[in-house]
Amino acid sequence: MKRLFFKNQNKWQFIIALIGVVLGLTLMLLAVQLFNKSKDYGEASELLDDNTLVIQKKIGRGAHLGIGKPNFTSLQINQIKARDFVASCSAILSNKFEVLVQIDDPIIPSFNSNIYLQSVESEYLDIPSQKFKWDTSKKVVPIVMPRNFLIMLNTFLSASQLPRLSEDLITNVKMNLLIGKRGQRDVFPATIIGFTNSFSSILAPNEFLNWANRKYSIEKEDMRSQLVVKAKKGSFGLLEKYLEENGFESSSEQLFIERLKSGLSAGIIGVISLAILTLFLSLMLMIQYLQLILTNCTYEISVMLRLGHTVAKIRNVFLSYFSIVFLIMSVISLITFYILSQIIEQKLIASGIILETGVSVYSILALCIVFITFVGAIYYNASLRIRALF
Amino acid sequence: MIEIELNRVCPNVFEDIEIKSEVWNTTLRLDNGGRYQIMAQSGKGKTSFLYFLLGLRSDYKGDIYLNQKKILEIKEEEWIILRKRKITSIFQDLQLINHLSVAENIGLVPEYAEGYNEGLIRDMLMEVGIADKWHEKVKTLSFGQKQRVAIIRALCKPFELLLCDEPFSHLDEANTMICRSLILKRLDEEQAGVIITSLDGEEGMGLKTINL
Repeated sequence: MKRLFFKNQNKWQFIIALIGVVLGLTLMLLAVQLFNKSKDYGEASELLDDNTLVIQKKIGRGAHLGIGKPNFTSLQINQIKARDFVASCSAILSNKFEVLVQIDDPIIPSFNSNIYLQSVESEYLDIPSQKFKWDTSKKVVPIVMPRNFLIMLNTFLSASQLPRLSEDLITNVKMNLLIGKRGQRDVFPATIIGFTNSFSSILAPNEFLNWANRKYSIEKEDMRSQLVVKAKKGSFGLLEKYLEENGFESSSEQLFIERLKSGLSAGIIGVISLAILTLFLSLMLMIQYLQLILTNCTYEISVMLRLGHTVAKIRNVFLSYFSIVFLIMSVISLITFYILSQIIEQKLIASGIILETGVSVYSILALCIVFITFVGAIYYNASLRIRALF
Repeated sequence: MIEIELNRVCPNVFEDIEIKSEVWNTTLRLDNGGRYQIMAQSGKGKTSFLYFLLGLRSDYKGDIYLNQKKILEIKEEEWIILRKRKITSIFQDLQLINHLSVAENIGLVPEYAEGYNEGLIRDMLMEVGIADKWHEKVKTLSFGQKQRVAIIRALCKPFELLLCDEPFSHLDEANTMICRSLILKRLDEEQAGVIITSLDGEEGMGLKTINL
């Protein structure tokens, strides 16, 4: 029956539709993968949501003479909070004691480094707040690690001819925080519960930092030299202008990243739009091709129906043909996508970003949704046209 | 069992015309297993009549009953069974697919009659003188040869009623005789009825004549 309907058909429109489907599916897979992986990387929620900045006062020459203190007063914090474009604002608490991070695990060489500990409200972190808690009954301190730290660590491992660590792997590495002066250090085992791009110091729970500051420091006054400010959606430009006008600053790198995020988010949205448009047009072309065949085969279909063939049997010939074609196109798209994602991965690694590529569940899910929609459209169109000839 | 009743049936195109007919605008009953020929000149509605019976057209007034059920109320799945196992047809335009071979055209029949297979079908083709055309594309055959292919395709399946629309119109006398006897043999085998439309009547088939 397949020969009866598909022989002698003009294949040009079909070939153009097939190229479109491969292109559309590949773009869709790439867009889903980019979105999904960037989300894994901790970027997506920030990419497509409010913008968060860590700000501080610009330090002038007067600071050395004690004029123009770097600390934020409560009044200043409340003034920032009151701005229309500010979603929230909170002081960042810093350590007032000496602290080292020590990696103590047989899978990687021993590693010690002086670090800064900071603490922010958990609403600024993409981790469950109940996990980011500490009290004196607990020995283990949950920490959030800046991704820059992981990149630095991986650079160290590469230099030592050792394999890099993924985010999953490093969460299982044994790590300690050494607090106090040399020779009198207390050891606190630490466990990584998440990663951040917004902060460049290791983050510990508020309760731990307050407790440690009291125990290990003689300074009474809290240092509030940095604030974390979250701008309302679409108001990042206003926040940036406000900072400039009021003598506040954010690291240029952070501003650059924010702008990069906006650009990247626009890029991902662009790829998604292009994928949807290409897929829509090519699938429409496929359905138009089906209708063309059905029109060309009106006589043959009528003969079959008059001989006693069922609508379902004739429809299934078209359904199986187009399903097989779509599956073949899906495989070609998956291969193309895999090659492209490998190239992208190499480029990202060269830039110091480790994104684990490979076909994700979301990509397969997206493919299944497109397949079901396509098969549904073929089923509906074929049934309608064949039944009209009954 | 196929029983047909017509109750004041009139094609829409004849609605405003006064016609004298034993079929249109009257009551007619065609018995199960009966053998009939519908005779009329061209343009009187012979093909329309057969198309109405097959449920392919519904542009008429009145009611047609197939086994006491209104044809217009017969569902799709019931038509499938009727067309597959109970009613077979030889159309005036033959309804063959030109770019397929004779074998492929016959192969389109969804269900062969009991005991019928390629061997028996080839024997039938031999009987009507076109056994050598088995692999030939239908488009290469003459209309007379095509007509014989259409007759054999209609006869190789199970049926209770055979509908023929001028089935011998392009056959010479010798081939007409062969095809008539083939049809009668199959009617006997299947114990089926037949309705044949004809311009001037088919002789020697024992058909009851109804003037359209």
